[in-house]
Amino acid sequence: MAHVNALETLEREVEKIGSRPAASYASVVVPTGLRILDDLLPNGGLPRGRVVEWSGPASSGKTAVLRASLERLREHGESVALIDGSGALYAPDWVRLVPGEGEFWIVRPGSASEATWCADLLLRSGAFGAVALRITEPAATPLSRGASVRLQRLAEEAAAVFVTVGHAAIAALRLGFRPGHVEPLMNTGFGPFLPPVRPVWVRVGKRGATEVPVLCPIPPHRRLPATRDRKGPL
Amino acid sequence: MTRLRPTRIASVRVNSEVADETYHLAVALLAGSPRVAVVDSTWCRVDARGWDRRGGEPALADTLRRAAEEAGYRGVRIGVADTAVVADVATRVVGESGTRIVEAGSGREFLSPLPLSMLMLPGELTETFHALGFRRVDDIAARDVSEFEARFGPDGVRAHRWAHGLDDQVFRAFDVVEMPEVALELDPPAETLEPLLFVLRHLLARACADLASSGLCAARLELDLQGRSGTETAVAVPARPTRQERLLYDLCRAALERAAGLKGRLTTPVAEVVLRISQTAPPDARQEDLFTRRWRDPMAAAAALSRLGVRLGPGGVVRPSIRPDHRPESHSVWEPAEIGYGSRVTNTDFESAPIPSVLHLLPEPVPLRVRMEEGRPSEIWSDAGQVGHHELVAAEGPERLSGDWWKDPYHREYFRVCTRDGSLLWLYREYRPSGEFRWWLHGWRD
Repeated sequence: MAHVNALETLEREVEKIGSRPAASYASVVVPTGLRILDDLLPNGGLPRGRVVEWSGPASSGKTAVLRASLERLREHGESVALIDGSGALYAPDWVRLVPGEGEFWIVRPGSASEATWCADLLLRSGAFGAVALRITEPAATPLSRGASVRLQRLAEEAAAVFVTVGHAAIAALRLGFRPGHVEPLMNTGFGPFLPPVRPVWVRVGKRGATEVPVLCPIPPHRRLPATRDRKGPL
Repeated sequence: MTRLRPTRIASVRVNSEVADETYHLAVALLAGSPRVAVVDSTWCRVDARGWDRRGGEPALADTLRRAAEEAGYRGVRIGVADTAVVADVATRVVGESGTRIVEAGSGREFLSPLPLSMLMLPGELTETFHALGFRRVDDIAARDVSEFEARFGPDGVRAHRWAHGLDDQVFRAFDVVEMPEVALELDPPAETLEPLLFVLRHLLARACADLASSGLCAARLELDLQGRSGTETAVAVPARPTRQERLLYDLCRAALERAAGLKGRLTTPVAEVVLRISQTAPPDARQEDLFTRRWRDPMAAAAALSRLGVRLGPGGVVRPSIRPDHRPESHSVWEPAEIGYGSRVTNTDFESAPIPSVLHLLPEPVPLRVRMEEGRPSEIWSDAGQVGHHELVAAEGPERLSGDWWKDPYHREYFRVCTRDGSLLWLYREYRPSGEFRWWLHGWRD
């Protein structure tokens, strides 16, 4: 009899889980894992089910912070998709995020309108915990009001984090980026050289809001591939 | 309540001279665990979990050894560890007929002092590492992954992960099955796609029923279109093994449409269609916690990614790949991604991890005007207005690149520069054979 009661209790619990809307996920925010950014964000992370705008001029560190955030989201068990609407990402910088099979997907649509369609499809599937849409440089294509509303609704239904890198007409949270001042290194007879790191300033909300610096290392010159091709064809 | 450990794998190898049939050893090892994966006829991996109350892993190793010896094998070497890569190495360090159990969480410590050749990396990579002075596994593990990432691409990252005792291999139990195949003759022969699509549903329904009866999913489908002038084959690969009719229909339809071209007319009338499931796989499942609220349906992800692949073509869902070329635009490519389950990496030590800036390459380099000062760029602008006027506060370079003299010679000098407003740009000066040069903006760091 006790077994029957236990089974019934278990069935009720499972039914409750099944009938629970997706939006009632355990947490309404997902920490990015970047402490300095999490401290700045309301409730300590990126909100689920909202459009998060990630904006700033070219070379302001948006993609560096985005990549780090997505990497951490993935490591915490979220399925992550990045839609590169601009088609400008340099593949070697993304090798570490895709070590063979993985729960990190990069989608390269042919145009900005296709990029929005891709975001729509991925969010609609409900299978991704985070979707990022790059619609910025070199050709910036703002996310229209209609598209923003539709994607926000889909993100809400999927309880997913949705980040748009580039301007969105409607966004629940706007993160602004700007490059910090770079102090060149002077060396006798040579230089000025680039310093090993540069600050990137991040703010939540409009201009004038509190900004925090994120230090981004500047990688050295591109390292050459292992195979030498200077000797000519085999 | 005893909880199962996340992963424990036993690797079992036997002397090759007694091996005859591929699955003979695997069948014998079923005495120790219901989950056995075949590597080859002398080498299997076994799920080593579940022996906590039966004497632990030493008892499992004894059982496996006894089972293999009773089946006629000698020289049984057994390694037990958290991941397949560590367990495999353990079988190589034990002597003839030995057992080595690597404690949970100590894979890296176990691997560190061993020579690099123990890792079973691809031969070319091992040679390169050797030439670079890496002798022990720790020589790789102690370095930052980004060094291997930039130079060797995914192979380098994998080698670094292996050196840490981490592994992405999915454990698949063995199974022997016949591949489902269904065929239908068309009378009269079909000249357009419409009749083919009509029969495709029927063929898929039969194939999926066959798959369901054998408990398998389709990993690759081939459609043979037999006409008078020969047979044309269209291939469809689902994102993950599946037997969902609708998803497979969408993929086959896209494959047929690609074969038929824009006009939807076949190159030759098709008299017979053969649908062959050329690769099958067990349902790709992952154990999740029933009460976790973060669970997401992997098949829904597979369906969405498949649809993206169909709509955007092979370059739609991609993964980065490094190529042996010095020119940045051809140094790497985005390859079609193979979609499967990834490993859940538990390394969450991110607080100290840096956030390096990310390089973007312009689809086409933008011509620039550059003012030089003491051999370095000091101001840049473009005549066409794509790039505004920028004063440069720092410039590093040149990094000289040249090569391909036998086909398409190039000679470039790259500079990394920083503008007064903090933007990091990547420019180069390209020399022509006549000695003239032009400046180009190739990308920027964001």
